Amino acid sequence: MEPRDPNLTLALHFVETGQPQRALTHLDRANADQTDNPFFWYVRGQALYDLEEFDSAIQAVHKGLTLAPEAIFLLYQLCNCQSRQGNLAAAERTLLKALQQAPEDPELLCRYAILVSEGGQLDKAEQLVEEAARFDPEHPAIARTQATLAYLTGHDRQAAEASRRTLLSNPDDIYGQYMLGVSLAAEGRVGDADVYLRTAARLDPLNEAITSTTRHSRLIAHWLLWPLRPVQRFGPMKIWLAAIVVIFGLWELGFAKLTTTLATVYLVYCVYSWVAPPLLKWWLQRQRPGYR
Amino acid sequence: MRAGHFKTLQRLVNRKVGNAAGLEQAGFSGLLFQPSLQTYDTHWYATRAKPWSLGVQAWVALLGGSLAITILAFLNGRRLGLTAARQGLILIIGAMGFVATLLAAQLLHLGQLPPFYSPIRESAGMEYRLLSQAIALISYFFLVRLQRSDYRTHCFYRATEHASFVVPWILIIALARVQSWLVFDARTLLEGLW
Repeated sequence: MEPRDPNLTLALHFVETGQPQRALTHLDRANADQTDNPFFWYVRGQALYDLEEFDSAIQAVHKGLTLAPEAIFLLYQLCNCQSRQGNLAAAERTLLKALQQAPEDPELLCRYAILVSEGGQLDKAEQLVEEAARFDPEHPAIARTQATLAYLTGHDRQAAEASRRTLLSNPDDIYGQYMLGVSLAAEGRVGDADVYLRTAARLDPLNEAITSTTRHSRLIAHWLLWPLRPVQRFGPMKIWLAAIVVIFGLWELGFAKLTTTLATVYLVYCVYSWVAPPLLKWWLQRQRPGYR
Repeated sequence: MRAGHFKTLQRLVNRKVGNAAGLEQAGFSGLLFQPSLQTYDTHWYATRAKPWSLGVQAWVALLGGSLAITILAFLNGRRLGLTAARQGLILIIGAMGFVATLLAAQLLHLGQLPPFYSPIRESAGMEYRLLSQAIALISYFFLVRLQRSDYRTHCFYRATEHASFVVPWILIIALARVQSWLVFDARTLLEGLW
């Protein structure tokens, strides 16, 4: 299944470097006998997947599967396409078919964990990751999946730690960079988060989820929203509690004017926190066409 | 650039198919590999209304009170597709918050709570508002926990866009008034009964 045709080798290179359109051009130039090679359909499916043409990608993968019905890499790719289409039921059936052949594969187990988490079944997802860790605790997919599940269950610090573990083994891991950015943003550390999200967006500019999250992060990290960092870091509930304690404390100590000033400042701060983000987004959309 | 992602697929390409005996013989519990997404309603998830962000709900609690935050959390729970049990818990927590607000207002009126002074102006109204805000924020603390994992799953896998702030603002303005009216009306009613 290794690519022998130079056009197939080039197509693989372009898929790897995020140039799916060029990959498709080279696949069209490949020898006719390559269409009997399941790997040809795998590369074609991946290029179409990157172009978000999921129906065509599924057709290509199915052609590969007619040649090699039990090829795990094609089943994995088909599962990815089906889940991106939102067809989780079909994706699950496909992935279980692959798992029947390689039940101890951590990559497949973690993919299944991610799939069920997308369907909201976080308990099952955690059990699947535990199963995967039983076979190969050091497998990079495990830390990546743990980071995702920790984030989804609201354990942001654990998610950041798991993402850092992923980046220790591979500093260029796009998903690790992305998850670390997302977890830090959830912790309220928007400045640090922005650095990792920008790196992820630079490494994979075709990924819409990463680019849209990075755009949102850039908005939150904008200098006009710096005053809102405490709210992002601690949440409105803690800020309210702190404001009430300080305002009442000062009143009890007899600083009437200071109390009134602080109460007014707090009120203005609250209004700013509601008004500034949507206004800034609207302004950026006007300034930069294409900004969403 | 995307070698990390590609390595995953490469590993699977090179993976030797083995252990055709299947999942059960490999020592897996059967339940874990039972299909569980076959009833997943793709159409509903694709066409449902966007949920409100959890951050906005904090302001609704702060300014609108227990009633407003409960109704918004319940509506959001339906948009997120929370289980019936979780939706029920939202209503129970909201009802407890509202009853606590009623009790606090009554105890304030009867002088059973230690008095504290308003820094803006000394009035029972300000004391009631602060207690009402505190109770609503405590309710919010629990209500957010019930929605968080489903909300994050929605944002992470589907979209980062949220619903408009119009409905939360209407809830703040309308239900804060309704709650005050209910609390003070209920007090009169209770006084009549006692």
